[in-house]
Amino acid sequence: MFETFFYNLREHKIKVSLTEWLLLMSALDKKLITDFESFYYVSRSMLVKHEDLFDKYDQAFVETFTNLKAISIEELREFFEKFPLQEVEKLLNIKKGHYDYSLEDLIKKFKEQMEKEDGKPHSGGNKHIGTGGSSPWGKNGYADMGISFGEHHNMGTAVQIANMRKYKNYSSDETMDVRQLQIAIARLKKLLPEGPEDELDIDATIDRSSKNGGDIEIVFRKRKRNRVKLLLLMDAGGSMDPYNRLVNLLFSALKSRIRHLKHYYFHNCIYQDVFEDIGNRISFPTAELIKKYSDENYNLIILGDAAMAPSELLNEGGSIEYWYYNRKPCLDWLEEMKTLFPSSVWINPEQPRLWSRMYTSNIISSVFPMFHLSVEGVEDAMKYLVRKQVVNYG
Amino acid sequence: MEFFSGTKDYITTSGLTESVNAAIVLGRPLLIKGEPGTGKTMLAYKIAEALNKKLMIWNIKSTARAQDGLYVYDTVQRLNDARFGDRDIGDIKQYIKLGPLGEALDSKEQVVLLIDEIDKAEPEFPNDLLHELDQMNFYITETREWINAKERPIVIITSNNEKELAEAFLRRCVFHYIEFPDRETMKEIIDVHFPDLDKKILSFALNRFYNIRDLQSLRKKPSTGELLDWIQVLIYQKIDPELLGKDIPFLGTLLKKTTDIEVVKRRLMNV
Repeated sequence: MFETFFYNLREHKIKVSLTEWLLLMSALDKKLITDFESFYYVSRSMLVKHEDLFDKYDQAFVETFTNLKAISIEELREFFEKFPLQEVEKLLNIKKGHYDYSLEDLIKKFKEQMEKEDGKPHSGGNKHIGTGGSSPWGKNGYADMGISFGEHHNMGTAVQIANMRKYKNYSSDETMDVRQLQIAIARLKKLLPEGPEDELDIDATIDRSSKNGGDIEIVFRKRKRNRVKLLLLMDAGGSMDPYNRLVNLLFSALKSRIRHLKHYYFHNCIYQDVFEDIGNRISFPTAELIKKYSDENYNLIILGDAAMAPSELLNEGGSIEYWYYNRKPCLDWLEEMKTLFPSSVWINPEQPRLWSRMYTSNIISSVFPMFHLSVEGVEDAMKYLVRKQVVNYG
Repeated sequence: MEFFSGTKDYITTSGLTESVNAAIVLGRPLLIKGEPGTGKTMLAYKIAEALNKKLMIWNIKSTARAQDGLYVYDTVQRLNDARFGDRDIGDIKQYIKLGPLGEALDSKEQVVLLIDEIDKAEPEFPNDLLHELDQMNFYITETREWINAKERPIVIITSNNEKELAEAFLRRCVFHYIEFPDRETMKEIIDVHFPDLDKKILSFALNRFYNIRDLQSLRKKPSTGELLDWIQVLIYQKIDPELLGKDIPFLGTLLKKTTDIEVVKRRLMNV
């Protein structure tokens, strides 16, 4: 029956880890759970770590415990003795070294704890949790037989609470989250001294003091801070629409991590103008953009699907906009950018297996190293940028 | 083992006491989230008070580093002493200043440690604390010394949700989300602060307060603290709710944004 609870939680995408499951076990063992209502709260506080997931927990809870006749304390104990470790191990498909403790250690630890607990008067010498008379399991005075939760009014209360589904509004269904991307982006660092001189420079202090003949002279320096600069060019063309959510996710992750972030838009391909707004109304000359930001050692990320008609990429006048004439082909612009921005990458939301099938993305990926818009892809892109970054202590 | 069950002036909501006691008994940090003004920080004070333990506070700022919480090595003082002082500068120990976490671990008695607003720091910050919070010990490089907690401190961590916290960190915590108090709980809270409050003022204040909170277009909803301030003003000014009609006096006590005040005036006061 508790297996069902565990399965139901996983069904509802609550990823219970072994550490957490064991924590719940020791909570049971240490008599923290006094009735079914407290089981609802304690198990939630151990297994669910975000209010977004409370609603899913409630659903799993209701599915497991509604229409339940009775759970005896024996069953509970049996379950927590037999089920979790082997089953959880199987379920989580645990590889060695994947967790901070080995599974054996955890089992040992838990067993030790159990044995210690058993000696205490509260468990009444019986090895079953909370049996043996004045059971801590029932504040209403349940005795030897163990608690039949099903007939206990508190059982109803807990399910009622879960059934209220009051956390429905917190729920969200994001798959790739901003945090994962933020961590990936955190790799893009350029630590340079900045701000007030408030860090003691020990080497310089010793140096000066020796020169002073032992008279101490304290030298301070600026702390190193992340001063990475990034220019982001985003394709706002129609073929990018399906990826809007992903693009926004990356954009907000970048924005939250990088203080010196400039962004511009282009439509399908870059010609002599880029745009400050997504509707391509306020233009900015590309030549000036390249000059300005490459002089200041910006990193460059171009975000687009690299999918276009070959003529758009290769021809003079290849722009598909009837009102727009380009004298210089897009590819020339891209090559110029690659030369002036040594640390530059192309991030493509399209599946990597499709890149080689597309004529234009093939060409573009020979100019810019191309990475997939996924957590791993972004991480690799950041590693590449850091390697290529110009170090200039200005 | 002592159990926490709230104090006479701190009303706990459902599930909170269970989470607090679980964290204490299992020796795990308790992560507390919730809307501003739901008493996240206050909880740590009240646990310390109820269990009669010393409280240590570590206020996290955006520049906070995990190391600062453990200890700081005061080189400047040592250099200064080398030149002018009469202290024995060979004794490095005296230049090691423990931070809040360091002190909590070093304390002979069990203390309550509040790590306030952990989400203000850089995203890596919580991960840097994993070892210390798990093992409850740390190493001082300068003196080659391990500090081992004699009594596992009760660790309360608050977060305002400004940043998401890492999975590895979350796995080790007991988590509780303090919901905004409903009308009944709020009544109890008000009763604790103003035991002799006039019934008319109470129901007037509560009605208006929840009406305002129900407005979807507010930028910042008023919280418990603001409600209590407002009631204080109402009492002080001897306001008689029956003479008010639709008016909501001293609205500025409840709402801090001019746009919000205008929304309330338009929607609730028909101004």
